[in-house]
This record gives sequence, structure tokens and C-alpha cells, in this order.
Amino acid sequence: MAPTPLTVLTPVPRWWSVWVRFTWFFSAVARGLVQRPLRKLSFIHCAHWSLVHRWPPDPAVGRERAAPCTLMFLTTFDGSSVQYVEAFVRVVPTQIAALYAGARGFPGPRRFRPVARYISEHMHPVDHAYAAHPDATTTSIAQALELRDRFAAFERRMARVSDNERFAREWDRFLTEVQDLV
Amino acid sequence: MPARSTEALLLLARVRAGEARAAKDAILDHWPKHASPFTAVGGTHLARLQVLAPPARSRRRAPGEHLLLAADVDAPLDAWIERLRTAAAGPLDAVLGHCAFYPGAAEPAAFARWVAANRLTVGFSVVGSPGATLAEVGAALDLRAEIGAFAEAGQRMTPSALHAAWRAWRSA
Repeated sequence: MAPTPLTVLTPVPRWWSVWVRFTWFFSAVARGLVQRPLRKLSFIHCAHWSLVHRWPPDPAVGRERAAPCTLMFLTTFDGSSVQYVEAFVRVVPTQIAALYAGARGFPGPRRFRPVARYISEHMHPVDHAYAAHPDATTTSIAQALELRDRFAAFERRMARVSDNERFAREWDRFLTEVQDLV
Repeated sequence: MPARSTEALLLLARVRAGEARAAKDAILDHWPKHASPFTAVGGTHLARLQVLAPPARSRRRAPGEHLLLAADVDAPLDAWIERLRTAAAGPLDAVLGHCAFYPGAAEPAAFARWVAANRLTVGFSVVGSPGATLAEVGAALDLRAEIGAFAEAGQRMTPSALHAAWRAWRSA
């Protein structure tokens, strides 16, 4: 099953956007501390947040009518949006609050149903989505990359082995070690 | 934290007044789900195209629609943007042609300037496998399947046959 794309636009006051930028600065200097629990959710292919301060204009139209400051959230994930929101609320409520507590109408990060309703009210349907490996989950990709590294080490070790019995034993041991990755 | 082999593009462009429906139709016509032009753009992990209406400043007047093009791609991003321009010029023009100031994909410098003018800065990101290029991900998935197949076949082999099969596999 192909991963699910989600686009959520949330209007925020200008003063709140200053705080949001501070949280991003903090996450940048914290060297992965903020991302780590999100990455551990293991079904996120990608998640990006951006602030739109000025919507691109159309010269044929007068004054821009879009909200002056919008928090844009784009993500692609495995599974359903219900599972996604539920996991976010359970695992990273503090990070959600840090980004959305000042957003208009945000119900707070700790209860699933109000957050799910808030997201469904602010999400925008994706007209075209592409995934290079639509059948590969985030977990299967991570496992394949880890298996690749461990297999390379095994292959280097086996280059010096000429005895058939020993190779068979080493192969069995390798398969036992990586059985969760294959 | 692993080194980043991928970068993200977020591009937001204003759809000309009255052309949102045509832009959506162009996405349906020129970017079919099972034959995406992104397939021809090397290094594209994930991508999306959509027409969206921004949140309104007030309830009385609806804002105009915008087009969002977002992608997670192999670094460097500028090289990917150029590959996108050359590999998907027709489908791009069909959709982005409904956006204000879009110069077309034929002229590289003008296209690059328009993309730069409409790019959003990514504030915060979480990426599943940020240290792997698309080719590395594809090769790892293929290798995983090969290892699984070899493990299954090897269960019925004697040690000498297993070792011979290994040599044949790894030297192929």
C-alpha cells in the first residue's frame, strides 16, 4: 500500500510564528533531540513544517485575502491518518503543543478526537502523490539499509573463508542475527 | 544524527484568478497516478502536487488558490530541479502554466529564478532515512529480497553446495 500524504494549513498569529521559529532554532542546535521521538514512530517517511508569511500574489487581483501567517505541515506516512494522529497525540504531545498551542482554535495536544477533528478541518486534499518505492514502508527501508551494512561486513569476513562447513555455520549464525531484518 | 543525503523542496505559487479548476484538471490529465512524470526525474523519493486554498484573512472574502509542489529528493536540490525541468517539461508547463509569473520550462535560467522566488524555507523536518539516496534505498531493498531468496534456497543445500551457490551469487 502506498504511503499516505497529508497537507495541513494552520493560521497562526504573527507573535506565535516568532515562538515557532524559536522552537526550530532550538531543534537545530539540539542536534536531533527533538526529531528522535518522532523518528522512533517509524511510520513517518517525511514530515516538514514551514511558515508562510506572504502568499505569492496575483497581479490581476487586488489585496491578498489569505491569512497573513500560516503554519504549513506536509507529511507522508504509512497507514491511516487516524493511526498517525493517535500516535502523535500519544508519543509527542509536548512537541505538538510547542508548534500549535498558539494556533487559532487548536484544542490542545492530549486528546485524540479534538486533534483529529482539528486536522480534518485544516487538511487539504493532495491531487497527485508520488513515492519511488510505494510498497516499501519506512520500517522496511530502515531494515533494508541496516541489513545492507551488516551483510557487507559478513561478506568481507567470508572472503577469507574457504572451508565449506565453516561457511555454512557462519551463514546460519548471520541469518539468526539478522532474522528480524530479512 | 546521520548525514543528510536528501533535501526537501516546498514551492508555493499563486494560481491565476479563475484558473484553479483548470490547474486541477491539468494535474489529473498530465500527472496520472500510475504513470507519474516524477518517475522520470532521477532522485525523487516522494513528491506531491496540489491546488489549495490558503486560510482566509476574514470570513467574508475567500483567498485565491495556490499550487503546492513539494518533493523529497537526493541532494543537491538545484541539480534535481534542473532534472525536473528537463524530464517533465510538458507536464510542468501544463500545470504551472496556470500560475502567476510562470515563465515556462524551456528557459533554464528563468525557470530557476521562478522556482527560487516561490520556494519556502523548511523550518523543521523529520525524514525516515535521511542518510540514503534513492539509488541506495533501491539497492538495499533489492539486496534484502535477494538475501531472503538465497536464505530460503540455502535451507535445502549441503555446506559445499551452499558455499558454491554463495560464490556464484556474489560473483555474478
